[in-house]
Amino acid sequence: MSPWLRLHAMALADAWRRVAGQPLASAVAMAVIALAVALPVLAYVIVGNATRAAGSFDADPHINVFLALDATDEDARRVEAALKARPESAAVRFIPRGKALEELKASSHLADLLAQLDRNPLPHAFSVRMKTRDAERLSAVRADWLTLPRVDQVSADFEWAEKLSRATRFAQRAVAGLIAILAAAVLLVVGHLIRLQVVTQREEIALSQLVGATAADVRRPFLYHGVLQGMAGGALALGVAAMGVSWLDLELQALTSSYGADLKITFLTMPEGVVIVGSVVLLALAGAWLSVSRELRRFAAAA
Amino acid sequence: MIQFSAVAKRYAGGHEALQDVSCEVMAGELVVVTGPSGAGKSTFLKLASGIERATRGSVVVNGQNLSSLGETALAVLRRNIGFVFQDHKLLFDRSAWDNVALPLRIAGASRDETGRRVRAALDKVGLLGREKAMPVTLSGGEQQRLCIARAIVNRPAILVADEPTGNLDAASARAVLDLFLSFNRVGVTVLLSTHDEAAAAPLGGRHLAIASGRLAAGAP
Repeated sequence: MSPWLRLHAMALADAWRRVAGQPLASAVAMAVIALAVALPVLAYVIVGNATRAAGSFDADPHINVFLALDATDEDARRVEAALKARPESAAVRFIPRGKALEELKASSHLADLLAQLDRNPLPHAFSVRMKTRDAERLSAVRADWLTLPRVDQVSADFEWAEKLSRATRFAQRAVAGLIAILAAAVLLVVGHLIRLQVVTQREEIALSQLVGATAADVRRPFLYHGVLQGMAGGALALGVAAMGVSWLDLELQALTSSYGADLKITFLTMPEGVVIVGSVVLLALAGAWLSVSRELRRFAAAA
Repeated sequence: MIQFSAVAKRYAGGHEALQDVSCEVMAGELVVVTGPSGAGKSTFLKLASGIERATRGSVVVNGQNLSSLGETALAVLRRNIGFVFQDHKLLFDRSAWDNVALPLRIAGASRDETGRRVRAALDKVGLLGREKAMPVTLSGGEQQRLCIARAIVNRPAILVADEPTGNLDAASARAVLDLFLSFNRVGVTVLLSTHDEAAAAPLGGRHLAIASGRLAAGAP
């Protein structure tokens, strides 16, 4: 083994002895890191799932046009031509009343009820994707289309989409803020833990420096100590967050199955998990580094 | 081996510990630094071994000007200079073996090499049977010899000792001085200080007298 590799192996062994030598303090630090990390991870997972769910709705503004129940196919063709003629229309989709009924039967629990009806309760309809998001122009178009012959209702369902996308942006920002605050907490927790270690080993550090230890030699075992704490805390955090998610998921399953929907919370992907644990390790490393450097400067000033 | 040129050392409080000291210690020489307490002997030894830096002038050890070395290079240089501290500086929560092994751990020596060298160093100072002992269970003379074992475990070319016989009875002091003589005989440059010139007389070697921070006699 090269001396360089041996120095690192010895520093790691030293760090492990320090962790194992004070199981209570190590466990408390690990738990604090885990809680500080689990909270934003949980928020990240929930907001990520909510954003994905929101994204599965078409966020482009749509205007739905419903014809009168007794409107004929001929009427529908005339209305379609009028809708397409508007410059604001991007795409016009015709939903014949027969097809609308089939879809409703397939996608809901109302099949039994619908089967009892002697006639189709649904009208012909159009779903028009709009080119503009401008609320004033959209409502002008809506008012115009209401006056078309045989048109019964015009609904513009773009406002909620706009609101939804604003809400998800807000949630993402809140998570980012949470991450920043709790990252600082991890930095401080590890920094404090390492500072206590450095202070109790002050005599040994001073002697080591006298007999030839460089600043890097002194720092090394403490950095490994920080890394070990970070790894343990990060891994535990993922465990805690996974438990939290599966507990929430159970409730969500019970809730959504009664609506006939099947929503499932997806947890982190493997790369996301690696990035999170890696970030915690880096934070712990930074906390240890800052702490050791600060204490060494204080020793030097006191000497 | 060690050259001082117009060296001065002033401590942060303003105390001028050394002034205009110029001298040279040749390779393989045994030099005894004498003088009353507070004359600047410890400062001289610390400057010579790279533990402290001169305020003015230059200290050259083994061809390297210490004032031009960075902290890391200076630390690495200290590995080749054995230093026996006046207050021993033993780690009291570690065994004799671990105390002696510390410099080797810092240098990243292998387990085999560490074992060999620690045994050899303990053997040389007559403590091979006490390797598992904790320092508090050792007598004053034994603690001093443990400190010497730690200083020589890296097989340094220069051995520096600050008042190594300070608190020892005559017999222990004699044993410690004989140790330094035996190292000097095999080619190690030895630099030690004492306030008791009579006790150091049997050592022979060149004497450098320091008084009030200045070199009094015996220089070049």
